[in-house]
Amino acid sequence: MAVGNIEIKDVSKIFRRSEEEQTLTALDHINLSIEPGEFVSIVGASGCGKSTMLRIIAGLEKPTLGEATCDGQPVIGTSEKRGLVFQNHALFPWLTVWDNIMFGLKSTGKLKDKEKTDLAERLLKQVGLEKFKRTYPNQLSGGMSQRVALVRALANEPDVLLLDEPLGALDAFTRMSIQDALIDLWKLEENTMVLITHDVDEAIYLSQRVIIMSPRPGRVIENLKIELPYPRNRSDKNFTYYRNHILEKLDLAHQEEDIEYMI
Amino acid sequence: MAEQTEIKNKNISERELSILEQKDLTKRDRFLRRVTIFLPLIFSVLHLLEHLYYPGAKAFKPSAVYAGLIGLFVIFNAVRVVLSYLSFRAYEKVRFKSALYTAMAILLMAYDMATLKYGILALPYFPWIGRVLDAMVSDRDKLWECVYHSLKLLFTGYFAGVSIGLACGILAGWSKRVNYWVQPIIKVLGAIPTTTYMPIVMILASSLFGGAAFLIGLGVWFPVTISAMTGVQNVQKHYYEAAETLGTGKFGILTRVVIPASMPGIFTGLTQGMSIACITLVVAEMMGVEAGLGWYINWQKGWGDFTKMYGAIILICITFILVNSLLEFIRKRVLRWQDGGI
Repeated sequence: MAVGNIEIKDVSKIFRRSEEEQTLTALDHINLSIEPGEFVSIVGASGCGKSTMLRIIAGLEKPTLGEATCDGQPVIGTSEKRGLVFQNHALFPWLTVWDNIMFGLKSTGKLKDKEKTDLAERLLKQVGLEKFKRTYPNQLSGGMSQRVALVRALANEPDVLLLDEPLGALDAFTRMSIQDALIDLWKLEENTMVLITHDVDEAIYLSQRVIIMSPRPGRVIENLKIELPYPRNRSDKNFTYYRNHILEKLDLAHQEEDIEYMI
Repeated sequence: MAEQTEIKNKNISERELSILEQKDLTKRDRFLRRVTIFLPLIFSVLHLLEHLYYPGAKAFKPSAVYAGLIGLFVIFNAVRVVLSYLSFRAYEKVRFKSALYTAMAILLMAYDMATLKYGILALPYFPWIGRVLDAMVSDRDKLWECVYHSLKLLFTGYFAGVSIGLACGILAGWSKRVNYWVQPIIKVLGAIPTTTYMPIVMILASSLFGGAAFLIGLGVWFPVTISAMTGVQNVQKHYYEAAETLGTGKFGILTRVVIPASMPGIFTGLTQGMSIACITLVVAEMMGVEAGLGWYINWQKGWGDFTKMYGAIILICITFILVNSLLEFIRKRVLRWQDGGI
C-alpha cells in the first residue's frame, strides 16, 4: 500500500500577538487532502499561512483547532517519516557534507544499513555533489548547500517531503537546475512532495496540483490540477494559461484583502 | 621586467602571478625588500660578537648559555634567509617577520651594552640576560620542581572549573528550570573577583593546594558557565527543527546539535578562563601555597636575589605562553569547520 497520505481536517491556527489584545488567525478552517506520491505546491502571498500549514504537517506546530493526519495517524510532534527542507538549508556547519547526510540515519540507528548508505550515495550522485563528501558546508555555494539539504532529507526515505521555499534564496539558473533535480529525485523515490513557494512558475513546472491560498486569514481559494506531461516547457501555451490563471487568482485575493482594509 | 613578457599562458603559476602583482615596484623597492631579509641575520651576528668580544667600559665575563642562545638565534635567522630563496610564499613570510626579529636583536644588544658592558643600568635591579640565564641553569632543579607544581595546580583547578562550568552552563542554557537556579548564583558570585576569597580560603581549606585549586576552579567556572550558557541559548532554531525532522531524540539533539553548535562560544570562555586561572595561580602561590613559580619569585625577593626572580618571571612567561598555545591549537582543531578546513 502506498504511504504518504496527508489529511488536513478543518485546521485553524491562531497566533498570539505581542503587545496587543487581538489575535492573528493564520489559518482559517483549512481542509486539504494529499494523495500518496503526489507532488503538490502551495502558493500564496506572504502572510497567507502557507509556511504555518507546512509546519503543522511536519509536527513543528500544533493546530489550534482541527487535526492533521499522516496515513491515518494524527500528527503529534515530528517524525523522520516527514522530512523538511528549509529555505536557508539549515545544514550543520560543524559536520561535513557526508556527515550531514548521515545525520538522520544515525538518529534512527540505520547507519550500519548498507542499503541506506548506498541510497544516500546514489542521491548525492544524482545532484552531482559526490566529490564534495568531505567538504564543510561553509565552503559550499547556496545552490550546492540546498542540494545537500535535499539529499539529507531524502536519505531518511521520508514518506512525505516538505519543502519550505527551498529555492527562494537562489539565483534563477541555480533554481532551474535544482528544480530538475527535484523532479528526478521525486521520480526516483516516489514519495509525496509538498512544496511551499511564491514562485508561480516553479509551482506549475514541478507539481501535479497547485493549491492557491489567500492571506489574512489564510484560506484555500483554489485547488488546481496541472495536467501537463513531464518534463514541462515553461513557454508552452498551456503553461502560460495556468500561470495567468493563478496570477489572476492571487491578484484577486489581494484586492479582496484591500477592500477588507477599507471597511 | 623580462620575466613579465614570458607570461603568455592563461593558467599562470603562483610565482608568475606574484610577479604580475608586483610589476609596479621599482628596482630600488625590490632591492630594499631583499636587503630586509638579511637584517635579522646581520644584527644577531653583531649582537653575538658584541656579547663575546666588545670591551665596553668595565671588565666582563660573557655567559656561555646566553651566547649559545644567541647562536641559535643566528642559526635560525640564517635558515630563514635560505628559506626565502625557496619559494615566493616563503620569501614573503620571511620578509614579514624580518623587521620584528631585527628589532629584537637590536633591543637585546642595547640592553646587553647598558648592563653588562657599561653598567648604565646597575645591579641588583638590572641583571644582564646572560646572568639571569646562568642563575636559572644553576638553580634548575628547584625551578623544574616549581614549574611542575605550578602546572599541576593550574591544571587541577582549570579542569575542575571547566568540567563544572560546562555542566552548569550547558544545562542552564538547555533547561529553563536549571537556569532559574543557576542564574542568580552566577549573578552574585560572578561579580566578585576570585582572588577576593583568597584569605578566607587559605584559612578554611584543609590543604593549601586544595584551597588554591578551588579558587582557580571558581575563577574558571564563571566565564565557562556564562559562555556555555549563552552559546547554548544562541543555537539557531532551525538547527533544532532540522534535527527533529530527521528523527533525532532529545538527547541526540543535546549531544549532536546543541553542544557542537555552541563550541565557538564555549572556547571563548575556555580562553578567558585560562587567563583568569593564570592570574589566580600566581596570586595564590605568592600568598600562601609553598611551591610553584609564584612562590619562588616571592621567596627570592625575600633574599634580595633579583636575578633569580627575573629567571622565574621568564619561566612563567614561557609556561603560560605554551599553555595558551596548546589551548589555541585545540581550538583550531575543534573549530576547523568554521573556516571550512581540509
